[in-house]
Amino acid sequence: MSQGADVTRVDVLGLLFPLLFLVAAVAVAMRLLAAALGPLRTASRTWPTALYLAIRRVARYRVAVIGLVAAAAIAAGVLGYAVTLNRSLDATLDAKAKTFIGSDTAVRLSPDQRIPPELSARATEVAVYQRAWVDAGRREDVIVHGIDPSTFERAAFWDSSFSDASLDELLDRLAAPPRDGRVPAVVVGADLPTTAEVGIIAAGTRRFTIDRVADAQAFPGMKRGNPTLYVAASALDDLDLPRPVTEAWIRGDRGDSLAALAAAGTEFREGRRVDEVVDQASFLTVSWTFGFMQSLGIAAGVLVLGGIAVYLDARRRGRLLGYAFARRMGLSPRVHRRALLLELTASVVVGCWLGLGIGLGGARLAYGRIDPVPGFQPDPLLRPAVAVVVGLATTALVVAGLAAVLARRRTDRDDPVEVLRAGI
Amino acid sequence: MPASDPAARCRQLAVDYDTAAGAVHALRDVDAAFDRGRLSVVAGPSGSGKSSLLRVLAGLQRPRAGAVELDGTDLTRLRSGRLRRLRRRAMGIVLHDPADNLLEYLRAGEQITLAACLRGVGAGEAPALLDAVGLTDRVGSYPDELSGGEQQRVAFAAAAIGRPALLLADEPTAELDADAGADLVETMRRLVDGGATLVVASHDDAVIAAGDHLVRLRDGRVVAA
Repeated sequence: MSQGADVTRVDVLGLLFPLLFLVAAVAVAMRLLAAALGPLRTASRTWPTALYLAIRRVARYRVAVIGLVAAAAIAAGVLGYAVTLNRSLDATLDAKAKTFIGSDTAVRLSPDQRIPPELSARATEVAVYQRAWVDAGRREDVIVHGIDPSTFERAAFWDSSFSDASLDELLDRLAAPPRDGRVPAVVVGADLPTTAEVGIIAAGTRRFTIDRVADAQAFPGMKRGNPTLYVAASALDDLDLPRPVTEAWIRGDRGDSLAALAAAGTEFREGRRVDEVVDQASFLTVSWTFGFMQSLGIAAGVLVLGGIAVYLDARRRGRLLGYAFARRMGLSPRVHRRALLLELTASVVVGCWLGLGIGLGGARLAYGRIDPVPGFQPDPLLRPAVAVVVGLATTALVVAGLAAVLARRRTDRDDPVEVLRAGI
Repeated sequence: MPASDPAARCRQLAVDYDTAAGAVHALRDVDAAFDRGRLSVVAGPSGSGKSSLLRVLAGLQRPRAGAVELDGTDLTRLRSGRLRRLRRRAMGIVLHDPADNLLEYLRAGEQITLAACLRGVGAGEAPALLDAVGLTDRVGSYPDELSGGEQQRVAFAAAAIGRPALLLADEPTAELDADAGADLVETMRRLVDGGATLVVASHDDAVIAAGDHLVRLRDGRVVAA
């Protein structure tokens, strides 16, 4: 991802690479599939008749079948890739915004105001000390957040990519009482020794020593470019610090939360909102690009459906003769129908599933390069479009089944007796 | 084999077709017996009822009246499932168009293997049959890589595998040139000499001359047997 003056643009290489990867992987898979047909043909000599026939049909019409497999794979792959990246992009933007804010909603409480009881189950208070420094050989400006470890988890946004340790574990470490006067702290964005001196500036400087109990890649409420320290607010009680800015972080629908605050008569000011943190318009180019790719995938899928229709129509005489053959040789219509279903499954379902697998693999390779706001944590998140993938995989099964049923009905309508009469 | 124990027999067979112009009597009171191990030829001009007779013998069509016995079993009384199983086990059928006798996606050897599989017999006989029809070197060929005569010979080999009680062939030389037709007649003769019972509908003089037994039809009636 590169960012111009006003508009974020897609890194062409980052976009093209997975697509080229998809096409190349499909091409390799097709070669392997073609190469596997010979051994499959040999191995299937003693397999059930329907499978025996289906494998031979696929082998006989390998060019058409492999073309269909490749088309289905590319259509499904493009769609799976684009939907996954779009979803990942949305999730990343949302996560970055919530990380910056701290939760779904963050408001600054007026002095002496507390979180009303009706919100306490999904809210936490955070004391913010904007003017502070940490001395790690040289002084560095930091922001200190005094949190309540007992309520933090219920309200703060958290993603497992933030830290190797779980939020529970981090909060437990912060909740531990100071040892030898050293306040347990989680450090974000600064390379500090195990202990370091911190100063909070407010009508003079209050100094204390922190004990670095964990580092995190990101933490709720962190600010871009500013190292941030998280400590238990209660650990600062004895420092006689001036009253800090107190924020309420509230999980859940923003409108509902603000309404609840207002209804309780709480005085507050909303300093920043999720939808203000990231300028969504800046990412329209990216979003449209992947949206366009999704459309391409859907269009390719429609073409695949047309391809199936053409394929079935081209094989119509063969099916009729196969059915007539079934009548003469005693091959049951059920076996004939199963063979047709297996043949279509081999082309459409295998192609679709293969494409989805490759598309998701491509998305996994690409998502790290598509960071809508590189300066904000967390790093890009991967959110596989599970519903779309499952839906597509199921749709492929349904399409193959329906196509087999329709082809079968058409064969029935063509009256095999007439075919036989023409022949015998 | 004694004539009193034929492989197949028709008694008072009648077959009608409904057409826009009214009912057409394809077969009327047909009595015929087809002995084991012999090449029987059903001859007659177009429209004489040859194909209808073969279709009824194959159990692919039920007659309006009469009976068709195969090894003593009346096919007209069998339900479709049993009839299909009987046909699979006891009959081999070859049509006049070579392309209709083979599945286009199977190689020559596989056509015979599939027939063996459907018949529930081993395919061990396949090489000998391919040799008998003179196609050992074409075992890996698809139908469209074979000439019409070769396709018919593969069809006969597939039909004959497992030694079914009855082989039926409708105008098998109709689409072939004279040389290929002569080769096919020789193939049929070889199969019969090997023990097969073959009933062939044909108006090809070469086939008629090669037959052991002739049933001549005209207007749906047997005029000579």
